Amino acid sequence: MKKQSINKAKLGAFVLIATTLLIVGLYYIGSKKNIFHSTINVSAEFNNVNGLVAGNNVRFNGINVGTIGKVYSSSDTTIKVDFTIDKSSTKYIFQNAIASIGTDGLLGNKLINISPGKGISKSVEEGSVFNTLNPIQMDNALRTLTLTNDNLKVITDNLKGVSEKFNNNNSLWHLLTDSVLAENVRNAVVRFKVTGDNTAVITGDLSKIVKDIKLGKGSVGALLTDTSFSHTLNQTIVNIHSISDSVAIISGNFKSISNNLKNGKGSVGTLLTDTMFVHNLNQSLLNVKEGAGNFNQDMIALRHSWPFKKYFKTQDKEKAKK
Amino acid sequence: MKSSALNRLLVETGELYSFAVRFFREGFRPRYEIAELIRQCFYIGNKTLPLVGLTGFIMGLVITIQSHPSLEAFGAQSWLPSVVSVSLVREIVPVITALICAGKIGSGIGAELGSMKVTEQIDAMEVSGTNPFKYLVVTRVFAAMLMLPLLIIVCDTISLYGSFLGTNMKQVITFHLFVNQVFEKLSFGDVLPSIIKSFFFGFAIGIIGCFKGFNTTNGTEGVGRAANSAVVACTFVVFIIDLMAAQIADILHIT
Repeated sequence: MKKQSINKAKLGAFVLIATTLLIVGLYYIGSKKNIFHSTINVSAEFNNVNGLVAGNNVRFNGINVGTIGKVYSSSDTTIKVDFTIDKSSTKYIFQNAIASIGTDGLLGNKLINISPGKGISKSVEEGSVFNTLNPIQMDNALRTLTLTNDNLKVITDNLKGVSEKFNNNNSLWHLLTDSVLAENVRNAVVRFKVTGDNTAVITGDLSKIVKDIKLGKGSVGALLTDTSFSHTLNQTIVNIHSISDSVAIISGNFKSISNNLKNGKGSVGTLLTDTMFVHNLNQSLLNVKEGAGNFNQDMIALRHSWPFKKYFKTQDKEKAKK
Repeated sequence: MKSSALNRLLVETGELYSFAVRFFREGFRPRYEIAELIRQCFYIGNKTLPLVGLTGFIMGLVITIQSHPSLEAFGAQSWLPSVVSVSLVREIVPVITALICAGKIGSGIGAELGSMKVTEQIDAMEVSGTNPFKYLVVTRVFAAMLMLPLLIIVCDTISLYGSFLGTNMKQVITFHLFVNQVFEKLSFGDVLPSIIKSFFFGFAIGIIGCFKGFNTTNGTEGVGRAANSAVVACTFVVFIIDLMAAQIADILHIT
Protein backbone atom coordinates (compact mmCIF):
# COMPACT_ATOMS: atom_id res chain seq x y z
CA MET A 1 0.00 0.00 0.00
CA LYS A 2 2.84 2.33 0.82
CA LYS A 3 4.61 1.47 -2.42
CA GLN A 4 1.45 2.31 -4.34
CA SER A 5 1.30 5.83 -2.92
CA ILE A 6 4.92 6.49 -3.86
CA ASN A 7 4.18 5.37 -7.37
CA LYS A 8 1.28 7.79 -7.49
CA ALA A 9 3.44 10.69 -6.34
CA LYS A 10 6.05 9.93 -9.00
CA LEU A 11 3.37 9.56 -11.64
CA GLY A 12 1.79 12.83 -10.50
CA ALA A 13 5.15 14.60 -10.69
CA PHE A 14 5.75 13.24 -14.19
CA VAL A 15 2.32 14.28 -15.42
CA LEU A 16 2.61 17.73 -13.85
CA ILE A 17 6.09 18.35 -15.24
CA ALA A 18 5.06 17.26 -18.73
CA THR A 19 1.89 19.35 -18.67
CA THR A 20 3.78 22.39 -17.39
CA LEU A 21 6.37 22.00 -20.13
CA LEU A 22 3.61 21.83 -22.72
CA ILE A 23 1.86 24.91 -21.36
CA VAL A 24 5.09 26.91 -21.10
CA GLY A 25 6.12 25.88 -24.60
CA LEU A 26 2.77 26.79 -26.07
CA TYR A 27 2.84 30.11 -24.23
CA TYR A 28 6.30 30.91 -25.63
CA ILE A 29 5.19 30.05 -29.15
CA GLY A 30 2.03 32.09 -28.68
CA SER A 31 3.92 35.08 -27.34
CA LYS A 32 6.20 35.01 -30.38
CA LYS A 33 3.12 34.98 -32.61
CA ASN A 34 1.51 37.82 -30.65
CA ILE A 35 -1.45 35.65 -29.69
CA PHE A 36 -1.58 36.65 -26.04
CA HIS A 37 -0.94 40.38 -26.55
CA SER A 38 -3.70 42.86 -27.13
CA THR A 39 -3.40 43.95 -30.74
CA ILE A 40 -5.04 46.25 -33.25
CA ASN A 41 -6.04 45.29 -36.78
CA VAL A 42 -4.64 47.39 -39.62
CA SER A 43 -4.19 46.83 -43.34
CA ALA A 44 -2.24 47.85 -46.42
CA GLU A 45 -2.73 47.41 -50.15
CA PHE A 46 0.00 46.26 -52.50
CA ASN A 47 0.29 45.58 -56.21
CA ASN A 48 2.41 42.52 -55.55
CA VAL A 49 3.10 40.78 -52.26
CA ASN A 50 5.89 38.46 -53.52
CA GLY A 51 4.59 35.40 -51.71
CA LEU A 52 3.69 36.96 -48.36
CA VAL A 53 1.47 34.58 -46.39
CA ALA A 54 -0.52 34.64 -43.19
CA GLY A 55 1.70 34.28 -40.13
CA ASN A 56 4.68 36.21 -41.51
CA ASN A 57 6.15 38.90 -39.31
CA VAL A 58 5.50 42.63 -39.34
CA ARG A 59 8.48 44.75 -38.40
CA PHE A 60 8.73 48.39 -37.41
CA ASN A 61 12.29 49.63 -37.97
CA GLY A 62 13.46 46.03 -37.55
CA ILE A 63 11.54 45.12 -34.40
CA ASN A 64 8.84 42.47 -34.59
CA VAL A 65 5.59 44.23 -33.79
CA GLY A 66 2.93 41.98 -35.30
CA THR A 67 1.89 39.23 -37.67
CA ILE A 68 0.16 38.96 -41.01
CA GLY A 69 -3.46 37.91 -40.64
CA LYS A 70 -4.90 37.57 -44.11
CA VAL A 71 -3.74 38.17 -47.69
CA TYR A 72 -6.37 38.44 -50.42
CA SER A 73 -7.16 40.19 -53.70
CA SER A 74 -9.25 43.29 -53.18
CA SER A 75 -9.43 44.19 -56.90
CA ASP A 76 -7.88 43.01 -60.15
CA THR A 77 -4.64 44.90 -59.46
CA THR A 78 -4.42 45.22 -55.70
CA ILE A 79 -3.74 42.72 -52.96
CA LYS A 80 -5.01 43.63 -49.53
CA VAL A 81 -3.03 42.48 -46.50
CA ASP A 82 -4.68 42.53 -43.07
CA PHE A 83 -2.25 42.39 -40.19
CA THR A 84 -2.11 42.96 -36.48
CA ILE A 85 0.16 45.29 -34.55
CA ASP A 86 0.99 44.90 -30.90
CA LYS A 87 -0.91 47.58 -29.01
CA SER A 88 2.14 48.55 -26.96
CA SER A 89 4.04 49.45 -30.16
CA THR A 90 1.36 51.65 -31.67
CA LYS A 91 2.47 54.74 -29.77
CA TYR A 92 5.34 55.43 -32.16
CA ILE A 93 3.83 54.07 -35.37
CA PHE A 94 2.10 56.94 -37.11
CA GLN A 95 -0.58 56.86 -39.74
CA ASN A 96 1.75 58.28 -42.41
CA ALA A 97 4.21 55.38 -41.95
CA ILE A 98 5.07 53.38 -45.08
CA ALA A 99 4.65 49.62 -45.35
CA SER A 100 6.81 47.65 -47.75
CA ILE A 101 7.36 43.97 -48.50
CA GLY A 102 10.81 42.78 -47.48
CA THR A 103 12.73 39.58 -46.92
CA ASP A 104 14.21 38.26 -43.71
CA GLY A 105 17.82 37.88 -44.83
CA LEU A 106 18.69 36.96 -48.40
CA LEU A 107 16.58 33.79 -48.64
CA GLY A 108 14.35 34.12 -45.61
CA ASN A 109 10.65 34.55 -45.13
CA LYS A 110 8.78 37.49 -46.56
CA LEU A 111 7.71 40.15 -44.12
CA ILE A 112 6.22 43.62 -43.97
CA ASN A 113 8.58 46.44 -43.00
CA ILE A 114 6.97 49.55 -41.58
CA SER A 115 9.19 52.62 -41.75
CA PRO A 116 8.30 56.09 -40.43
CA GLY A 117 6.90 58.61 -42.90
CA LYS A 118 7.90 62.26 -43.14
CA GLY A 119 6.15 64.89 -41.11
CA ILE A 120 3.83 64.62 -38.16
CA SER A 121 0.74 62.46 -37.99
CA LYS A 122 -1.53 60.70 -35.52
CA SER A 123 -0.70 57.30 -34.07
CA VAL A 124 -2.19 54.29 -35.85
CA GLU A 125 -5.51 53.06 -34.63
CA GLU A 126 -7.89 50.18 -35.34
CA GLY A 127 -8.56 49.93 -39.10
CA SER A 128 -5.77 52.27 -40.28
CA VAL A 129 -4.58 51.71 -43.85
CA PHE A 130 -0.88 52.19 -44.47
CA ASN A 131 0.74 53.77 -47.50
CA THR A 132 2.84 51.25 -49.37
CA LEU A 133 5.95 50.94 -51.47
CA ASN A 134 6.10 48.32 -54.18
CA PRO A 135 8.61 45.57 -53.49
CA ILE A 136 11.86 45.17 -55.40
CA GLN A 137 11.25 42.42 -57.89
CA MET A 138 14.05 40.04 -58.56
CA ASP A 139 13.21 39.59 -62.26
CA ASN A 140 13.26 43.37 -62.81
CA ALA A 141 16.64 43.54 -61.12
CA LEU A 142 17.88 40.69 -63.31
CA ARG A 143 16.57 42.41 -66.42
CA THR A 144 18.55 45.54 -65.55
CA LEU A 145 21.56 43.35 -64.88
CA THR A 146 21.26 41.87 -68.36
CA LEU A 147 21.30 45.36 -69.85
CA THR A 148 24.33 46.23 -67.75
CA ASN A 149 26.07 43.08 -68.94
CA ASP A 150 25.41 44.00 -72.57
CA ASN A 151 26.86 47.47 -71.99
CA LEU A 152 29.83 45.93 -70.25
CA LYS A 153 30.45 43.72 -73.25
CA VAL A 154 30.51 46.73 -75.59
CA ILE A 155 32.86 48.56 -73.25
CA THR A 156 35.27 45.65 -73.00
CA ASP A 157 35.20 45.25 -76.79
CA ASN A 158 36.16 48.90 -77.15
CA LEU A 159 38.92 48.51 -74.58
CA LYS A 160 40.18 45.52 -76.48
CA GLY A 161 40.32 47.56 -79.71
CA VAL A 162 42.15 50.37 -77.94
CA SER A 163 44.75 48.03 -76.47
CA GLU A 164 45.26 46.39 -79.87
CA LYS A 165 45.92 49.81 -81.38
CA PHE A 166 48.42 50.48 -78.65
CA ASN A 167 50.19 47.26 -79.44
CA ASN A 168 50.34 47.91 -83.18
CA ASN A 169 51.48 51.53 -82.95
CA ASN A 170 55.28 51.86 -82.72
CA SER A 171 55.40 55.63 -82.16
CA LEU A 172 53.71 55.26 -78.82
CA TRP A 173 56.27 52.65 -77.78
CA HIS A 174 59.04 55.03 -78.90
CA LEU A 175 57.46 57.68 -76.77
CA LEU A 176 57.35 55.32 -73.83
CA THR A 177 60.89 54.00 -74.28
CA ASP A 178 62.64 57.28 -75.24
CA SER A 179 65.23 57.94 -72.50
CA VAL A 180 65.83 61.58 -73.56
CA LEU A 181 62.15 62.29 -73.23
CA ALA A 182 62.18 60.70 -69.81
CA GLU A 183 65.12 62.91 -68.83
CA ASN A 184 63.25 65.98 -70.08
CA VAL A 185 60.19 64.96 -68.22
CA ARG A 186 62.30 64.50 -65.11
CA ASN A 187 63.80 67.99 -65.52
CA ALA A 188 60.36 69.40 -66.09
CA VAL A 189 59.22 67.77 -62.94
CA VAL A 190 62.19 69.26 -61.06
CA ARG A 191 61.24 72.67 -62.41
CA PHE A 192 57.69 72.10 -61.48
CA LYS A 193 58.93 71.37 -58.01
CA VAL A 194 60.99 74.59 -57.90
CA THR A 195 57.97 76.53 -59.18
CA GLY A 196 55.87 74.88 -56.59
CA ASP A 197 58.36 75.89 -53.87
CA ASN A 198 58.31 79.45 -55.14
CA THR A 199 54.56 79.38 -55.21
CA ALA A 200 54.61 78.22 -51.63
CA VAL A 201 56.86 81.14 -50.70
CA ILE A 202 54.63 83.56 -52.59
CA THR A 203 51.58 82.12 -50.96
CA GLY A 204 53.29 82.54 -47.61
CA ASP A 205 54.02 86.16 -48.41
CA LEU A 206 50.46 86.69 -49.57
CA SER A 207 49.22 85.11 -46.42
CA LYS A 208 51.46 87.43 -44.40
CA ILE A 209 50.21 90.44 -46.36
CA VAL A 210 46.64 89.45 -45.78
CA LYS A 211 47.41 88.98 -42.11
CA ASP A 212 49.05 92.41 -41.97
CA ILE A 213 46.08 93.96 -43.71
CA LYS A 214 43.86 92.29 -41.15
CA LEU A 215 45.96 93.72 -38.36
CA GLY A 216 45.82 97.20 -39.95
CA LYS A 217 49.49 97.41 -40.98
CA GLY A 218 50.37 99.46 -44.15
CA SER A 219 48.20 101.93 -46.01
CA VAL A 220 45.76 99.39 -47.40
CA GLY A 221 45.44 97.89 -43.96
CA ALA A 222 44.87 101.30 -42.45
CA LEU A 223 42.34 102.01 -45.15
CA LEU A 224 40.49 98.81 -44.39
CA THR A 225 40.73 98.83 -40.63
CA ASP A 226 40.62 102.58 -39.74
CA THR A 227 37.14 103.19 -38.40
CA SER A 228 37.36 106.99 -38.56
CA PHE A 229 38.37 106.69 -42.20
CA SER A 230 35.34 104.62 -42.87
CA HIS A 231 33.25 107.28 -41.16
CA THR A 232 34.76 109.93 -43.39
CA LEU A 233 34.21 107.73 -46.39
CA ASN A 234 30.65 107.37 -45.32
CA GLN A 235 30.29 111.14 -45.04
CA THR A 236 31.86 111.53 -48.46
CA ILE A 237 29.46 109.09 -49.95
CA VAL A 238 26.60 111.00 -48.34
CA ASN A 239 27.95 114.18 -49.86
CA ILE A 240 28.34 112.54 -53.23
CA HIS A 241 24.82 111.37 -52.86
CA SER A 242 23.53 114.88 -52.13
CA ILE A 243 25.63 116.24 -55.01
CA SER A 244 24.23 113.70 -57.36
CA ASP A 245 20.77 114.69 -56.13
CA SER A 246 21.54 118.30 -56.96
CA VAL A 247 22.88 117.25 -60.34
CA ALA A 248 19.68 115.41 -60.89
CA ILE A 249 17.68 118.52 -60.06
CA ILE A 250 19.91 120.60 -62.34
CA SER A 251 19.61 118.17 -65.15
CA GLY A 252 15.86 118.23 -64.58
CA ASN A 253 15.95 121.98 -64.94
CA PHE A 254 18.02 121.67 -68.07
CA LYS A 255 15.51 119.32 -69.43
CA SER A 256 12.62 121.69 -68.78
CA ILE A 257 14.66 124.56 -70.28
CA SER A 258 15.40 122.59 -73.38
CA ASN A 259 11.75 121.68 -73.57
CA ASN A 260 10.84 125.32 -73.30
CA LEU A 261 13.38 126.13 -75.96
CA LYS A 262 11.93 123.54 -78.23
CA ASN A 263 8.43 124.85 -77.72
CA GLY A 264 9.49 128.45 -78.25
CA LYS A 265 8.85 129.69 -74.74
CA GLY A 266 10.95 132.70 -73.51
CA SER A 267 13.02 135.19 -75.54
CA VAL A 268 15.81 132.74 -76.45
CA GLY A 269 13.18 130.22 -77.41
CA THR A 270 11.53 132.75 -79.64
CA LEU A 271 14.92 133.62 -81.05
CA LEU A 272 15.49 129.99 -81.88
CA THR A 273 12.10 128.95 -83.13
CA ASP A 274 10.61 132.07 -84.78
CA THR A 275 11.33 131.67 -88.51
CA MET A 276 10.06 135.19 -89.33
CA PHE A 277 12.54 136.64 -86.87
CA VAL A 278 15.35 134.69 -88.52
CA HIS A 279 14.39 136.12 -91.87
CA ASN A 280 14.36 139.66 -90.47
CA LEU A 281 17.71 139.10 -88.82
CA ASN A 282 19.14 137.91 -92.13
CA GLN A 283 17.83 140.98 -93.87
CA SER A 284 19.27 143.18 -91.15
CA LEU A 285 22.65 141.53 -91.45
CA LEU A 286 22.59 142.07 -95.25
CA ASN A 287 21.77 145.69 -94.68
CA VAL A 288 24.63 145.99 -92.17
CA LYS A 289 26.99 144.34 -94.67
CA GLU A 290 25.89 146.72 -97.41
CA GLY A 291 26.25 149.67 -95.03
CA ALA A 292 29.72 148.59 -94.04
CA GLY A 293 30.78 148.32 -97.72
CA ASN A 294 29.56 151.85 -98.34
CA PHE A 295 31.36 153.07 -95.23
CA ASN A 296 34.60 151.50 -96.51
CA GLN A 297 34.31 153.33 -99.82
CA ASP A 298 33.66 156.57 -97.90
CA MET A 299 36.77 155.99 -95.84
CA ILE A 300 38.97 155.38 -98.92
CA ALA A 301 37.63 158.56 -100.47
CA LEU A 302 38.45 160.36 -97.23
CA ARG A 303 42.10 159.15 -97.39
CA HIS A 304 42.65 160.71 -100.70
CA SER A 305 41.10 164.04 -99.73
CA TRP A 306 43.65 166.82 -98.88
CA PRO A 307 43.26 167.38 -95.10
CA PHE A 308 44.14 163.78 -94.31
CA LYS A 309 46.54 162.93 -97.15
CA LYS A 310 49.66 164.08 -95.25
CA TYR A 311 48.93 161.97 -92.16
CA PHE A 312 48.60 158.70 -94.15
CA LYS A 313 51.82 159.52 -96.10
CA THR A 314 53.81 159.97 -92.84
CA GLN A 315 52.47 156.65 -91.54
CA ASP A 316 53.56 154.77 -94.69
CA LYS A 317 57.06 156.28 -94.40
CA GLU A 318 57.42 155.08 -90.79
CA LYS A 319 56.25 151.56 -91.77
CA ALA A 320 58.87 151.44 -94.56
CA LYS A 321 61.57 152.59 -92.03
CA LYS A 322 60.80 149.65 -89.76
CA MET B 1 1.14 -20.88 -49.07
CA LYS B 2 1.21 -17.37 -50.36
CA SER B 3 -2.55 -17.09 -50.40
CA SER B 4 -2.75 -18.50 -46.90
CA ALA B 5 -0.25 -15.89 -45.64
CA LEU B 6 -2.33 -13.16 -47.26
CA ASN B 7 -5.42 -14.77 -45.82
CA ARG B 8 -3.87 -14.78 -42.35
CA LEU B 9 -2.96 -11.11 -42.66
CA LEU B 10 -6.51 -10.21 -43.69
CA VAL B 11 -8.03 -12.30 -40.91
CA GLU B 12 -5.70 -10.76 -38.34
CA THR B 13 -6.50 -7.23 -39.58
CA GLY B 14 -10.20 -7.98 -39.29
CA GLU B 15 -9.75 -9.40 -35.81
CA LEU B 16 -7.65 -6.40 -34.75
CA TYR B 17 -10.36 -4.08 -36.05
CA SER B 18 -13.10 -5.88 -34.09
CA PHE B 19 -10.80 -5.88 -31.06
CA ALA B 20 -10.48 -2.09 -31.35
CA VAL B 21 -14.24 -1.74 -31.71
CA ARG B 22 -14.70 -3.81 -28.60
CA PHE B 23 -12.21 -1.55 -26.79
CA PHE B 24 -14.26 1.54 -27.63
CA ARG B 25 -17.51 -0.19 -26.68
CA GLU B 26 -16.25 -1.35 -23.30
CA GLY B 27 -13.80 1.44 -22.57
CA PHE B 28 -16.30 4.24 -22.22
CA ARG B 29 -18.80 2.27 -20.21
CA PRO B 30 -18.60 2.04 -16.40
CA ARG B 31 -17.27 0.65 -14.26
CA TYR B 32 -13.82 2.20 -14.66
CA GLU B 33 -10.72 0.54 -13.29
CA ILE B 34 -9.11 3.79 -12.13
CA ALA B 35 -6.55 2.26 -9.74
CA GLU B 36 -5.32 -0.17 -12.36
CA LEU B 37 -5.21 2.63 -14.95
CA ILE B 38 -2.97 4.71 -12.66
CA ARG B 39 -0.76 1.69 -12.01
CA GLN B 40 -0.39 1.13 -15.76
CA CYS B 41 0.25 4.84 -16.29
CA PHE B 42 3.09 4.63 -13.82
CA TYR B 43 4.62 1.63 -15.56
CA ILE B 44 4.23 3.06 -19.04
CA GLY B 45 5.02 6.67 -18.16
CA ASN B 46 7.57 6.77 -15.35
CA LYS B 47 9.32 3.49 -16.11
CA THR B 48 9.84 4.39 -19.76
CA LEU B 49 10.90 7.98 -19.09
CA PRO B 50 14.64 7.36 -18.40
CA LEU B 51 15.02 5.34 -21.59
CA VAL B 52 13.04 7.82 -23.67
CA GLY B 53 14.80 10.80 -22.08
CA LEU B 54 18.26 9.42 -22.76
CA THR B 55 17.35 8.57 -26.34
CA GLY B 56 15.87 12.01 -26.87
CA PHE B 57 18.95 13.70 -25.45
CA ILE B 58 21.22 11.71 -27.73
CA MET B 59 19.00 12.36 -30.76
CA GLY B 60 19.04 16.12 -30.11
CA LEU B 61 22.80 16.10 -29.77
CA VAL B 62 23.39 13.90 -32.81
CA ILE B 63 20.99 15.69 -35.16
CA THR B 64 22.60 19.00 -34.23
CA ILE B 65 26.12 17.73 -34.81
CA GLN B 66 25.10 16.11 -38.09
CA SER B 67 23.24 19.18 -39.39
CA HIS B 68 26.10 21.53 -38.62
CA PRO B 69 28.34 20.79 -41.65
CA SER B 70 25.55 21.10 -44.21
CA LEU B 71 24.32 24.38 -42.73
CA GLU B 72 27.89 25.60 -42.49
CA ALA B 73 28.24 25.04 -46.25
CA PHE B 74 25.61 27.76 -46.71
CA GLY B 75 27.12 29.92 -43.99
CA ALA B 76 23.88 29.47 -42.10
CA GLN B 77 25.15 28.10 -38.77
CA SER B 78 23.00 30.64 -36.99
CA TRP B 79 19.95 28.77 -38.28
CA LEU B 80 21.04 25.58 -36.54
CA PRO B 81 18.77 25.95 -33.46
CA SER B 82 15.66 26.77 -35.46
CA VAL B 83 16.23 24.10 -38.12
CA VAL B 84 17.05 21.38 -35.62
CA SER B 85 14.24 22.31 -33.25
CA VAL B 86 11.62 22.14 -35.99
CA SER B 87 12.80 18.72 -37.18
CA LEU B 88 13.04 17.43 -33.62
CA VAL B 89 9.63 18.65 -32.48
CA ARG B 90 7.77 17.83 -35.67
CA GLU B 91 9.14 14.42 -36.50
CA ILE B 92 12.16 12.93 -34.83
CA VAL B 93 11.15 13.00 -31.17
CA PRO B 94 7.56 11.71 -31.66
CA VAL B 95 8.65 8.87 -33.92
CA ILE B 96 11.69 7.86 -31.88
CA THR B 97 9.65 7.92 -28.69
CA ALA B 98 6.89 5.89 -30.29
CA LEU B 99 9.38 3.33 -31.60
CA ILE B 100 11.00 2.93 -28.20
CA CYS B 101 7.58 2.57 -26.62
CA ALA B 102 6.65 0.02 -29.28
CA GLY B 103 9.72 -1.94 -28.26
CA LYS B 104 9.30 -1.60 -24.54
CA ILE B 105 5.54 -1.25 -23.94
CA GLY B 106 4.24 -3.21 -26.93
CA SER B 107 6.42 -6.19 -26.22
CA GLY B 108 5.83 -5.88 -22.48
CA ILE B 109 2.06 -5.87 -22.83
CA GLY B 110 2.17 -8.65 -25.42
CA ALA B 111 4.33 -10.87 -23.22
CA GLU B 112 2.40 -10.13 -20.02
CA LEU B 113 -1.04 -10.73 -21.46
CA GLY B 114 0.29 -13.68 -23.47
CA SER B 115 1.62 -15.43 -20.40
CA MET B 116 -1.64 -14.68 -18.54
CA LYS B 117 -3.53 -16.15 -21.45
CA VAL B 118 -1.52 -19.37 -21.70
CA THR B 119 -1.59 -19.85 -17.92
CA GLU B 120 -5.37 -19.40 -18.10
CA GLN B 121 -5.33 -16.48 -15.66
CA ILE B 122 -7.62 -14.53 -17.97
CA ASP B 123 -10.17 -17.31 -17.95
CA ALA B 124 -9.91 -17.48 -14.17
CA MET B 125 -10.52 -13.71 -13.97
CA GLU B 126 -13.64 -14.09 -16.08
CA VAL B 127 -14.86 -16.88 -13.79
CA SER B 128 -14.24 -14.74 -10.70
CA GLY B 129 -16.53 -12.03 -12.12
CA THR B 130 -13.95 -9.46 -13.20
CA ASN B 131 -14.14 -8.31 -16.80
CA PRO B 132 -10.64 -9.17 -18.04
CA PHE B 133 -11.01 -6.95 -21.10
CA LYS B 134 -11.82 -3.91 -18.98
CA TYR B 135 -9.22 -4.71 -16.37
CA LEU B 136 -6.35 -5.68 -18.65
CA VAL B 137 -6.90 -4.16 -22.12
CA VAL B 138 -8.80 -0.92 -21.55
CA THR B 139 -6.52 0.27 -18.75
CA ARG B 140 -3.34 -0.48 -20.70
CA VAL B 141 -4.52 1.15 -23.93
CA PHE B 142 -5.77 4.24 -22.14
CA ALA B 143 -2.56 4.42 -20.15
CA ALA B 144 -0.52 4.27 -23.37
CA MET B 145 -2.72 6.91 -25.01
CA LEU B 146 -2.36 9.27 -22.05
CA MET B 147 1.33 8.73 -21.38
CA LEU B 148 2.79 8.85 -24.90
CA PRO B 149 2.02 12.57 -25.43
CA LEU B 150 3.48 13.41 -22.03
CA LEU B 151 6.58 11.34 -22.76
CA ILE B 152 6.97 13.14 -26.07
CA ILE B 153 6.68 16.59 -24.44
CA VAL B 154 9.33 15.76 -21.86
CA CYS B 155 11.48 14.16 -24.55
CA ASP B 156 11.11 17.31 -26.72
CA THR B 157 12.48 19.38 -23.87
CA ILE B 158 15.36 17.04 -23.15
CA SER B 159 16.30 16.71 -26.82
CA LEU B 160 16.23 20.50 -27.27
CA TYR B 161 18.63 20.75 -24.34
CA GLY B 162 20.81 18.15 -26.05
CA SER B 163 20.62 20.26 -29.19
CA PHE B 164 21.71 23.31 -27.17
CA LEU B 165 24.78 21.42 -25.98
CA GLY B 166 25.43 20.19 -29.51
CA THR B 167 25.21 23.74 -30.88
CA ASN B 168 27.64 24.90 -28.23
CA MET B 169 30.18 22.32 -29.35
CA LYS B 170 30.67 24.10 -32.67
CA GLN B 171 29.82 27.67 -31.85
CA VAL B 172 29.13 29.79 -28.80
CA ILE B 173 25.49 30.48 -28.09
CA THR B 174 23.80 31.52 -24.86
CA PHE B 175 20.88 29.52 -23.56
CA HIS B 176 18.65 32.58 -23.80
CA LEU B 177 19.48 33.15 -27.47
CA PHE B 178 18.99 29.45 -28.18
CA VAL B 179 15.52 29.47 -26.60
CA ASN B 180 14.66 32.65 -28.50
CA GLN B 181 15.73 31.17 -31.84
CA VAL B 182 13.90 27.91 -31.18
CA PHE B 183 10.61 29.59 -30.35
CA GLU B 184 11.11 32.11 -33.15
CA LYS B 185 10.65 29.31 -35.69
CA LEU B 186 8.34 26.93 -33.81
CA SER B 187 4.62 27.44 -34.23
CA PHE B 188 1.48 25.78 -32.99
CA GLY B 189 1.39 24.04 -36.35
CA ASP B 190 4.61 22.27 -35.40
CA VAL B 191 3.69 21.27 -31.85
CA LEU B 192 -0.02 20.40 -32.00
CA PRO B 193 0.11 17.83 -34.84
CA SER B 194 2.93 16.02 -33.10
CA ILE B 195 0.93 15.91 -29.84
CA ILE B 196 -2.22 14.75 -31.61
CA LYS B 197 -0.48 12.01 -33.55
CA SER B 198 1.17 10.79 -30.36
CA PHE B 199 -2.31 9.87 -29.03
CA PHE B 200 -2.71 7.63 -32.05
CA PHE B 201 0.77 6.18 -31.53
CA GLY B 202 -0.19 5.35 -27.95
CA PHE B 203 -3.47 3.83 -29.01
CA ALA B 204 -1.84 1.72 -31.73
CA ILE B 205 0.93 0.47 -29.43
CA GLY B 206 -1.50 -0.40 -26.62
CA ILE B 207 -4.15 -2.02 -28.77
CA ILE B 208 -1.71 -4.10 -30.84
CA GLY B 209 0.21 -5.26 -27.75
CA CYS B 210 -3.02 -6.26 -26.03
CA PHE B 211 -4.40 -7.92 -29.18
CA LYS B 212 -1.28 -9.99 -29.66
CA GLY B 213 -1.19 -10.96 -26.00
CA PHE B 214 -4.92 -11.69 -25.78
CA ASN B 215 -4.76 -14.00 -28.77
CA THR B 216 -1.68 -15.96 -27.77
CA THR B 217 -1.83 -19.65 -28.50
CA ASN B 218 0.55 -22.58 -28.32
CA GLY B 219 1.74 -22.21 -24.72
CA THR B 220 4.98 -20.57 -23.61
CA GLU B 221 6.40 -20.71 -27.12
CA GLY B 222 3.50 -18.56 -28.24
CA VAL B 223 4.30 -15.92 -25.59
CA GLY B 224 7.65 -15.15 -27.22
CA ARG B 225 6.06 -15.05 -30.63
CA ALA B 226 3.31 -12.75 -29.38
CA ALA B 227 5.85 -10.32 -27.90
CA ASN B 228 7.92 -10.38 -31.05
CA SER B 229 5.03 -9.90 -33.46
CA ALA B 230 3.62 -7.14 -31.22
CA VAL B 231 6.87 -5.16 -31.60
CA VAL B 232 6.99 -5.69 -35.35
CA ALA B 233 3.35 -4.72 -35.87
CA CYS B 234 3.59 -1.72 -33.55
CA THR B 235 6.69 -0.38 -35.34
CA PHE B 236 5.04 -0.80 -38.70
CA VAL B 237 1.80 0.85 -37.64
CA VAL B 238 3.66 3.75 -36.03
CA PHE B 239 5.18 4.58 -39.41
CA ILE B 240 1.85 4.20 -41.18
CA ILE B 241 0.24 6.59 -38.71
CA ASP B 242 3.17 9.00 -39.11
CA LEU B 243 2.72 8.98 -42.87
CA MET B 244 -1.00 9.65 -42.54
CA ALA B 245 -0.41 12.42 -40.01
CA ALA B 246 2.11 14.12 -42.30
CA GLN B 247 -0.30 13.96 -45.24
CA ILE B 248 -3.25 15.24 -43.25
CA ALA B 249 -1.17 18.09 -41.81
CA ASP B 250 -0.04 18.95 -45.32
CA ILE B 251 -3.59 18.91 -46.69
CA LEU B 252 -4.79 21.14 -43.83
CA HIS B 253 -1.76 23.46 -44.31
CA ILE B 254 -0.68 22.96 -40.72
CA THR B 255 2.96 23.87 -41.09
